[in-house]
Amino acid sequence: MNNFLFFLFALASIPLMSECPWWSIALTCSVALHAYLASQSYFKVLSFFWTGTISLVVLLIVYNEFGNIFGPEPASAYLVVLGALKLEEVRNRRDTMILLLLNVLMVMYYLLFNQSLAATAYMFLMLFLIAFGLISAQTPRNAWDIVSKAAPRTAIKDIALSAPLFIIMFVLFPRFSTPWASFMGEEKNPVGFSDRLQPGEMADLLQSEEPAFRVTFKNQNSSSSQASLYWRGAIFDETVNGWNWSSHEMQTNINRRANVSSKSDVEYELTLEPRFDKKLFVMEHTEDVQWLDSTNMNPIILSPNSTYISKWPIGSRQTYKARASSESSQAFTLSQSEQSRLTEIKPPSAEVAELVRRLKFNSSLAKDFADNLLKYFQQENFSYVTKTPTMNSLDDFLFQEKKGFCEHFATASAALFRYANIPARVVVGFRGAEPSFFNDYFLIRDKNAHAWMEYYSDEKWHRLDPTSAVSATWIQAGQISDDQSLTGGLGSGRVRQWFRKFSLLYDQAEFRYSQLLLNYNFSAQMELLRWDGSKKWLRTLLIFLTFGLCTLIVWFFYRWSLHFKSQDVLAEAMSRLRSHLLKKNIPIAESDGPLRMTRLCIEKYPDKEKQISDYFSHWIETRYGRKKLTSETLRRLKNYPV
Amino acid sequence: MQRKKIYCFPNRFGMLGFTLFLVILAAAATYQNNLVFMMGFLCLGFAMVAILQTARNLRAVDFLNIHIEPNYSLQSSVAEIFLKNNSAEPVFNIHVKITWLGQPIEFFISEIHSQSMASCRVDVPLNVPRGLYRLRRVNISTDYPYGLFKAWTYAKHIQSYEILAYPLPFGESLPQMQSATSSSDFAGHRSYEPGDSMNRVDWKVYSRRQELHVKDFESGSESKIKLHWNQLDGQDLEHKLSQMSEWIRQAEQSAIEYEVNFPKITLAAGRGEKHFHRCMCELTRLA
Repeated sequence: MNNFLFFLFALASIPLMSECPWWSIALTCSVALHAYLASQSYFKVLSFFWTGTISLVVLLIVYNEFGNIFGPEPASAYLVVLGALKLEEVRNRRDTMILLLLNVLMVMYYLLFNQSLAATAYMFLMLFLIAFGLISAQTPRNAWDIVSKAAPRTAIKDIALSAPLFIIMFVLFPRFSTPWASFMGEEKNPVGFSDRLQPGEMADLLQSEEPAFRVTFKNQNSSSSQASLYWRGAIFDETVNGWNWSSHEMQTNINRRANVSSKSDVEYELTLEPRFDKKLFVMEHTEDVQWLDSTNMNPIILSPNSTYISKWPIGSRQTYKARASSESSQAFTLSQSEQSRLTEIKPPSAEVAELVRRLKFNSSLAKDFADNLLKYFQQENFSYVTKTPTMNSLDDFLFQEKKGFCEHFATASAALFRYANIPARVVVGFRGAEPSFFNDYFLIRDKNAHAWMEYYSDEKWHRLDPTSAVSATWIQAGQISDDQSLTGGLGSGRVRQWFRKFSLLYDQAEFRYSQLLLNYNFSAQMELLRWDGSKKWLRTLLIFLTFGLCTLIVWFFYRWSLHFKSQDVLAEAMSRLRSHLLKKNIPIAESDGPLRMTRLCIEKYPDKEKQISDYFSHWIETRYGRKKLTSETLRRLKNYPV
Repeated sequence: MQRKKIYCFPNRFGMLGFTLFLVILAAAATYQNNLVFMMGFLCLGFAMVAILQTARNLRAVDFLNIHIEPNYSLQSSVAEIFLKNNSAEPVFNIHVKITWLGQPIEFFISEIHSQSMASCRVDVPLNVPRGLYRLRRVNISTDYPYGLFKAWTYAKHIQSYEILAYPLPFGESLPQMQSATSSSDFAGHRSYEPGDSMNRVDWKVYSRRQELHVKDFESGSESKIKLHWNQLDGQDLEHKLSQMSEWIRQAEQSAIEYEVNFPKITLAAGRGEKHFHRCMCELTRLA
């Protein structure tokens, strides 16, 4: 039992430890190891004084570090240590029970961090193991051999039998918010893009296969080419040296009147993964962004840059809908001060100035400048790589290394535009999309992160993706290319293909699971119970009656299954044996006892005389002798000799 | 014996589990986490099933009998209960608690095999005055298989179980034995018969032959005595009872036949365990 408890604790605490601070992990592992060695009699167990002291000290450290002890992070840090300390003092059934219930708490805290299909499977596995542990704790030691085979079946069966009540409660339980929810808000560091842009920072993101968000298009014509899908996230329009960029703080809520929609508009729904970030990703020329859940109280703010952010960090999977027009329908006039700000940059080096002069050759048009810039990148054999040496300035990139990824190209291009006195800014977001397994949505992963730039001309902002000049394959496909530097390499093409298909299928299952169950909220509940018509009360009544009837049926079925067999099992077994022997053409009469049956069987099968004699001897001893009727005995009686 | 309804309630671990369920629900509502809601409701459903399973563990158990050996008051006795498992599966962790005169006596049977009987013996102090007592209640309970709920039931018709506390033997020796001249001439061995005093068993013969034989002695005195209640006039009731109890005990130990005359009943001469208990029973019920 002790080994099982250690195994269970490891399963419950290891996933949770990924969210704990390093000192908590170190302490937990040390105490757990000591407890295990103590259980093997290598050490003495820690006394109550030491376990109590360690608990108190950890509590104080947690409070000092997190400011409270109830949020997911502080509670996890404390729980894992507490669980390890409890392992030290498992001496009797009471300790075992407390440890098992502590494991339930640890699993719960893990689920606060991770909501996915895999986490659901983990939850079921842990509940099964804990149920098995509860049975083990109650079973007397001398009966363990008998119970150990039935205990897993009992645990699985009982979890399965709890499904009807679980389903009913899950569907009908009201999704209310608690008054203390605002105090327990998470302040985690956002995952993904930072608020400052320094070329090279996106390198890790480009290697990650984690999903960033998923998009479902509502119109047919919108899913034509995922290669044209640019998802704008953040704008960086302030720089000093053209290499490091930041955002200008102007997050004011602008109530822009949405234009009347037209047939060419793209309507889409975007489901963000929880990144504790405020940025919302939208297509270009998007208007009218709203949360799909009308009860979502997190306001969406539109900035003058046409980027959208939420007021509070998004810590759970959220979906919003938006509409994008095919092109910008509004002229956008920049004020003089704004133009100055968007061309502000410190004077270039002589080499850069000379380059800008060459790119402006014989034309003052911004479009010509853009074309010349792209040609320059191609002619100078700039290359796209994801692993670059450290570059500290624009000159390093433009004249020495001549290689980098989207960040380098975008920032360098925007800087060059500014040197040419053309307002420019860097846009960071995602590029491209991957169709799902059943082609019903598009998946955008972290490695689709991209940076490009926009320049202002003719009262409009124009997108320019300088990376297109150097990595056409990647850009045109909008998907993962065969470039090993992008994919990291997975071996042969077939293996990679199968892995990709499996990955998409899993993502499909995960997404649908998330939509149906994980995102089941108050709105979805009301939608389920509402009837758009005059007889809404009838539907509600029908739903409740259906659930009630299902519950009753399950209840009666379970009560019937509980009815234990109290009739003579041996008589039943004898009846089955008679039927079996009759099928073997042995003339057994109803009144024949085991002795006559033995004789008749031996007459028919003389070569099996010994087996027949042993079998019926066992039968006689069970029925008339002192042999106890156990499940083992019954099993032996079912192994007919003929 | 028929059984009453089975009751079920969380024990201390069940209450702890319920508290945990409330914590899970609060966490789910706070963070609007559907997976935690799922876990909470799954635990709730599991708890409902655990109630049924715990009751099921008890459902097949029949309370057959309880036997408390009568003994002198202020001495200890042995209580034995008999349970039967009528199902095809073994049952575990059956607790039986009887209460009489405010004193709880607990039995624990760890396992009863399928279609089998099991018993449990417990020493019981008879710290009560002499008399006839009846069982008030027999509580049969279990917390198997999950240890979160306690299911219990009460055995019916247990008032018919009587427990006799015999009067404490105290007083003078048997009157006939005071003047009797006894001869202790060894008269030979005979086979042991139930009721013979174990003091007369010849253990040396047993070690040789593995058979019980008692020694017979020739005695010049009479082989049976009469014990009269009227011989005890002048004493209060309790003293009379103690004295008579002492005489009966001595007569039984001496392996002589004794006849006991109570005010309303006379028990014919006899000896042996059965006769002894019958006499003591009548003595206890006296007054």
